[in-house]
Amino acid sequence: MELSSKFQLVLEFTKREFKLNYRNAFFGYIWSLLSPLFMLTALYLVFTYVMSLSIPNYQFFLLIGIICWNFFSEATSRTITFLHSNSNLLGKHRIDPSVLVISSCLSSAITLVTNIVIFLVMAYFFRLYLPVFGILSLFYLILLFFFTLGISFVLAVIYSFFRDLEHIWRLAMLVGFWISPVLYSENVLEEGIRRIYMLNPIARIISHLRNALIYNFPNELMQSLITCVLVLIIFLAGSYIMEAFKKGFGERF
Amino acid sequence: MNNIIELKNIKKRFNLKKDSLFEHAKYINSLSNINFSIKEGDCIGIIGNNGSGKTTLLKILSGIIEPTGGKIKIPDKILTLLDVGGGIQEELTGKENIYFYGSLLGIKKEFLEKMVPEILDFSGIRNFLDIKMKYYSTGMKLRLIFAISMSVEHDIYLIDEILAVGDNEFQQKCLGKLRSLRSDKKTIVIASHDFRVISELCDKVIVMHKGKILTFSKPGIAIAKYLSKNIENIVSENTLLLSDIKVQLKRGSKTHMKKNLRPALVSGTKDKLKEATERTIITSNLFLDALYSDLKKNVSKNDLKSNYLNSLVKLKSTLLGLKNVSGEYIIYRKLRELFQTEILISMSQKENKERFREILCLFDKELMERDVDLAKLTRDFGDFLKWINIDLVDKSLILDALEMYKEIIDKRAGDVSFNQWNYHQVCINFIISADYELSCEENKAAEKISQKRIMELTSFRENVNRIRLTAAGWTK
Repeated sequence: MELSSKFQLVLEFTKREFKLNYRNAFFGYIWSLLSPLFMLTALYLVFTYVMSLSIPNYQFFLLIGIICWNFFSEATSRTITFLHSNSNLLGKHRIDPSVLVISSCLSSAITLVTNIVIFLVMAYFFRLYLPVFGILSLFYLILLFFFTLGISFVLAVIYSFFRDLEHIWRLAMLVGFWISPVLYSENVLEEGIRRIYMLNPIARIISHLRNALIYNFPNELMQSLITCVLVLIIFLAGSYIMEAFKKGFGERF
Repeated sequence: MNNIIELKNIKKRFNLKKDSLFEHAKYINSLSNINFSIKEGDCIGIIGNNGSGKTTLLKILSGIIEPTGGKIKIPDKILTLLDVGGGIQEELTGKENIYFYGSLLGIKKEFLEKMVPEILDFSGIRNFLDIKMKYYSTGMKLRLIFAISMSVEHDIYLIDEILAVGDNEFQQKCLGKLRSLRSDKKTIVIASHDFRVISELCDKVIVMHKGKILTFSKPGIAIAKYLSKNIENIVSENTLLLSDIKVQLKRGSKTHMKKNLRPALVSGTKDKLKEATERTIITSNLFLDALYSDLKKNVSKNDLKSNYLNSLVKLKSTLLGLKNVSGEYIIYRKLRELFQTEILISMSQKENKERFREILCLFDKELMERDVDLAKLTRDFGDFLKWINIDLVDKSLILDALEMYKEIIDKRAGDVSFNQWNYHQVCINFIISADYELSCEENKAAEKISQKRIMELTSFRENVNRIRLTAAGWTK
């Protein structure tokens, strides 16, 4: 299949996924806005009026962590369920499996973008000063997407051989939530541990985003570059693995 | 022309227990040792029983699954129509499905937009365009899928059993489409159970049997081989069945203390026999259909004939083995058809004069043993004689048959007056056809008709008349 046809198929899959999610609901597509809005508002209110922590602007600090983590965890888990629910297509048509993976990540990216938009609206509403460096956040979000895509490729390949991955990954996501700086700042860790801790690209991206969006603090170029390289390596490795195990992918389902 | 598809030593093995860590792998060889190549523009049929590997072969040809071993060469732009359900999105509307399914097949969106009216016309779902697919009937889904698939040109078309679904009108539409693809010199591979379609469309046919290619040859020969393989199975099954039943009955009588056992056994046997009979009759129907269509197309190679004859004889012996079964008359009629067909084939093989006589004797002997109304039987024999074309068969054989027919009537006159009347009809029939032949050829080209032929026909006519007149004694 040519590249443009593949791209078209990715779009069709993503469209279908989006439609299927909301079509049967009375409010339809409004839900795609309402649910993140409610969640983010609830979090905001709780951490403004119920629990106060020492981190400045903790509400927004938390929102960024949650948005990023949710995207990563949703996209990767969705990849697995997406392959599962489309296994009949894989067995009947010659589909490039990477098309399915990309579509599932794109579907989650729609939620990510909605969340970010809601976040910006809230930031404006609650008078958080949005710095010029905020524009950089777009770049970090793209990095996040490619990192997620790379991991999803690998997961898809493993899942095609090993169905237990679905359950294992659910556990991994539970653990991952706590070992990533979602609720807390990586600065609470000791210097030595932090070095290892910050090898986690998710942690790095969350931290960069917070710096750029909330704290008006330009990230060091070196640190951003390291993140870039890490993401690139993971993405390329993921694509390579996908390519290598593409043969007979459909029949393993 | 180039080979567009080449398969060398293709093997395919499936692991049936691959989803579990704790069970031992259980392998099944779905395909083994598959070798063939398809030239550009050929139309190839695949036939075989369920589970013989047709779909697996198509999936390998389409590149959906990879063979376990062997070398394969397939083109890039392949259209695969494997089944109706795969690819249909129940929750999307008809229009959305056109785009989704079209993209699945790799058709460009701009092109699809242009093709939408044509797709709607072909599938006839114009009024349901914005309705979700789950409210469509199976036929509508099928029509839509077929219309989308055919909207764009491909190098090669792989089609599995789609003609079996859908109403008559749609089947005709599909056939029309396939015929036009055929005349456009597209490469087509069809798996089907519809022998008429296969023998009409295909240049060559692959017969699959238990994951192997039984034969790859012209449609008539392939179908005959396939059926004779099936018949072999039926024969062996029935033989087993009959011996099994005998053993069971014997055992039943020994343990006659248990009074319930025997009746149960007997009724069980009856059911089994009934099933066997039905299966045999269905097979013989299929077989006769294929055979007649081939004879019409005049595919009269000698190896084909011997294949047919072998299958026929086997099928007949199975039917003959099924004695004392309910539905006796149906079996009788089938046997009659089989006998007639056998004669039809052997008649056109000039060297088989003896065979004709043999078959006639068998016809007499076997059919008489059946518990059929005698009047009906003699009439059937008469019909059978009427049906013989005097131009094809040795005239003396017909005379023999007529004599035999007379004897039958003499021996077992059921409704005497009726049968005698029928006999005269048969004789007059032959006289008329002889007259017709004579007059026809005289009119056409008087100089071309040989004196010998006129002599032959005239003497035949006289002989028939003589026989008829001797039989006329009956009425007096």
